[in-house]
Amino acid sequence: MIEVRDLDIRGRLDAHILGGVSVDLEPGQTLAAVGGSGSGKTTLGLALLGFIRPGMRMVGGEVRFQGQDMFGLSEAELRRLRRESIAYLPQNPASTLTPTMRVEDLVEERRLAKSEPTQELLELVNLPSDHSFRRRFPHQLSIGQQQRVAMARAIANQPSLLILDEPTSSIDPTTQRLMLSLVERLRDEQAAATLLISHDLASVARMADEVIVLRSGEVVERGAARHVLDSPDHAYSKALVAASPDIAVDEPAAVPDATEPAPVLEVRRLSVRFNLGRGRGRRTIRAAQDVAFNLASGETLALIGRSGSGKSTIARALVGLHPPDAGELRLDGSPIPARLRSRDQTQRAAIQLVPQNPEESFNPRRSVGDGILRSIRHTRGLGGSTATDRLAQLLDQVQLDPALARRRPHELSGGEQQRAAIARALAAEPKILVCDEITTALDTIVQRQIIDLLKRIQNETSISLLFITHDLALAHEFAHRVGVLDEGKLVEIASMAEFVRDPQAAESRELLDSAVSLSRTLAARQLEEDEYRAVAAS
Amino acid sequence: MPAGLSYAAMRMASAIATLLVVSMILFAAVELLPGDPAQQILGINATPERLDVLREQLNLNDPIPVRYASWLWGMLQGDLGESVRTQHPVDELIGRPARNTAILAVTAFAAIVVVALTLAALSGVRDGTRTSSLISAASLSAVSVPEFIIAGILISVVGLELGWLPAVSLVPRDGTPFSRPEILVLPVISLSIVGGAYGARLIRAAVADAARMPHVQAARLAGLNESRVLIRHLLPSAIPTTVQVLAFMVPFLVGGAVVVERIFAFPGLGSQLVDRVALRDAPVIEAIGLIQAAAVIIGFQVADAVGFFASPERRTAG
Repeated sequence: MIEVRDLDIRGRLDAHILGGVSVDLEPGQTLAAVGGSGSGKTTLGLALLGFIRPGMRMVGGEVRFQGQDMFGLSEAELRRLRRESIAYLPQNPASTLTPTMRVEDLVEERRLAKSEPTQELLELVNLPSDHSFRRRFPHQLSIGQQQRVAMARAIANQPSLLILDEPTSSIDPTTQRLMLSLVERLRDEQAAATLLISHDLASVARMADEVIVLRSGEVVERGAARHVLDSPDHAYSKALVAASPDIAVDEPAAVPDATEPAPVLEVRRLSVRFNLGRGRGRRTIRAAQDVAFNLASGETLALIGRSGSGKSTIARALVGLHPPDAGELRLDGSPIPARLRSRDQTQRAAIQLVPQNPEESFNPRRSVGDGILRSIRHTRGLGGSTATDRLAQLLDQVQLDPALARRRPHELSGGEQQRAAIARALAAEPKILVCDEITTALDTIVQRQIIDLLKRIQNETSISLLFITHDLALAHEFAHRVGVLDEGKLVEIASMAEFVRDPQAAESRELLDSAVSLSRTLAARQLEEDEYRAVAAS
Repeated sequence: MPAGLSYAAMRMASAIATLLVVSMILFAAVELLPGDPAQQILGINATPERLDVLREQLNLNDPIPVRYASWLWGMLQGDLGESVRTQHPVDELIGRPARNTAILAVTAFAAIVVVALTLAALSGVRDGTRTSSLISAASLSAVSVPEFIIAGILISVVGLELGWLPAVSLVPRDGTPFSRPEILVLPVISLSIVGGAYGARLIRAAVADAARMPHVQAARLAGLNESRVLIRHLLPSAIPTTVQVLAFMVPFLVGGAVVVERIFAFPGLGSQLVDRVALRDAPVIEAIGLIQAAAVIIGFQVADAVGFFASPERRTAG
């Protein structure tokens, strides 16, 4: 149904985005394209829609959909194909919803004569279908509901081709399962083909029949999903599989000896509220309620929870960016002020934040090295050659090439930006590093490198890490203890080993059940296929 | 809709408060103009006794707050006072000029809306095309030329050299500007070239921002018709900025009208204002200033309201 032949797409300076990629996709088949960032996965997905992003151009090859050359079609013919046969869900599905349109209009405008009525489409994605819900605007829905509306909108045309770009990266486990069942339904009912673009190998293992492994725009390995994921041949595929966190395989880190008499940081009954809106429509959101935990020297505590569970708010409160309504913070046994402004130099330096989006946190007009130097000067009061020596030392510590430090933030890759941000935080010689979802935007291999870097720094300096993430499988590999947040409350805190063995809170079990495990997924699929074969044989 | 109603009430109250503050500043500014009105009226040869009598008649001996209060009280009752120079009631003096200016400004505003929206849509929806670069270059040059230069060029070329349109915009004694529509053409062009180009640039930026939003790209990839993408997905996001830009045209027109009316000898509020400032005719100046301020405030209130109702997020808050 889809034939891609020698697709060659170049970016600026003639750089290869896709260098001669060929792919076939049959009706009813699910093909996964896996690879790190910059591997050309998204460009391939968009090419199947007959779209090439601005700044790129196609220099060779062809894309055929049901025999038609996608790039030879007129605007109107291409539009008809997209309208009638294709469903596309980009990385952040909620962003496809136009904020000025109502739910029903968003779904309705993608329906065709053959489609189910809007109401049924909404029910299909487990959304209410009553009049008042259909009249809502996207901002009146939760993020999960927005994602479901985006799904209903995407499949409203009963597509024969689905293109899903990193569908699991921003979606919670329940919505993931729903998406999976929708894909299966479309496959069974109308033999829809699916291109799944992902770096989450477990979800690939669950859904895909075939896998292609992309690296820098080239297919380095292709084959049956189970084979490629279980026993990859190419070195890069091996690295991808090895870097993928797996809660069922990796051993959790042992809790360090609690010989330290007092914890470095004590958080007592921390509560943070947000006021939304003004006047009568005013609402209060309790982002954190009575949160209490300690952090020992040289320890890593992972704070995990879904989006909106209060993780980032707690991070911001600890570094003094968001004053809490109640609670106390103690550093080395003595209380510190809530506001950053009221903290003294040592208190400020002691707790440092590595933000979620490092690129935004550097001045776009100056080099990242400058940014790190600034931190050295302000937090340690160093100047002149002492400061530049310290910069060199920090760059060495985070393994960032000094030549790269002379570049501006947007000229660095995501992993390099994150290394720079860690160096900037370390410049203050902190006791505690608060890492707020610092691996979320990175692909698996780079994620692994950053985690290894943090582990090494912790071994060398016995710094304490507060590692905030929604990825339990990743936290599992290197955090000593774990705290689970649910709607602003810390519902469980335990050592990682104990937590995995015997989770107490319902939210913990939910998180644990949905945690990524490539090996488990592969085993489950194997089992399914064996059963199917057994049934077929009898 | 309760959110809408309380919103309207709040806006109304803030508009009235703003107008009140403007009226104070306006009154104080006119009072602070140098020179003694009584002396101005009677001339330099007036005797001190006659000056005193006139000051008493004009209530000039009262303190400023008292005079402000009585002026405001009069305004509230619809009494604009009378000219200190000719003793004509102010409403008679400014009635016809106000109507003439309103006609000029509304025509110019309509022209600006058409010019700005057309150019913005042509250049903003698809970035980087030749039309788009041409329009932005042309609008940049138009923005850099003040309206009185454009007016001067139009008068000398179209009015005098070619003789196609009247160089002077005289309104017939018993008619409106519409009874000789040709007199409106050059003033409206002078005002709308600058205003239209300025508006086009700002609205273009708003439309281009909206065009880059992920939901617009998604709508195109969903295979929707280009007209539907524009009307349902792209343009609604640009409405709040667009109406704000258009609201900024009201003060531009109020100020521009003063200059352009003067150049074309158009009998409007702007010309009247310039004449009365020269004569130190405080009640007329204050009345005209207040009308201009009200027009500007109403313009921004309308823009805020449109922006409010165009954004579901704000409309449904609370």
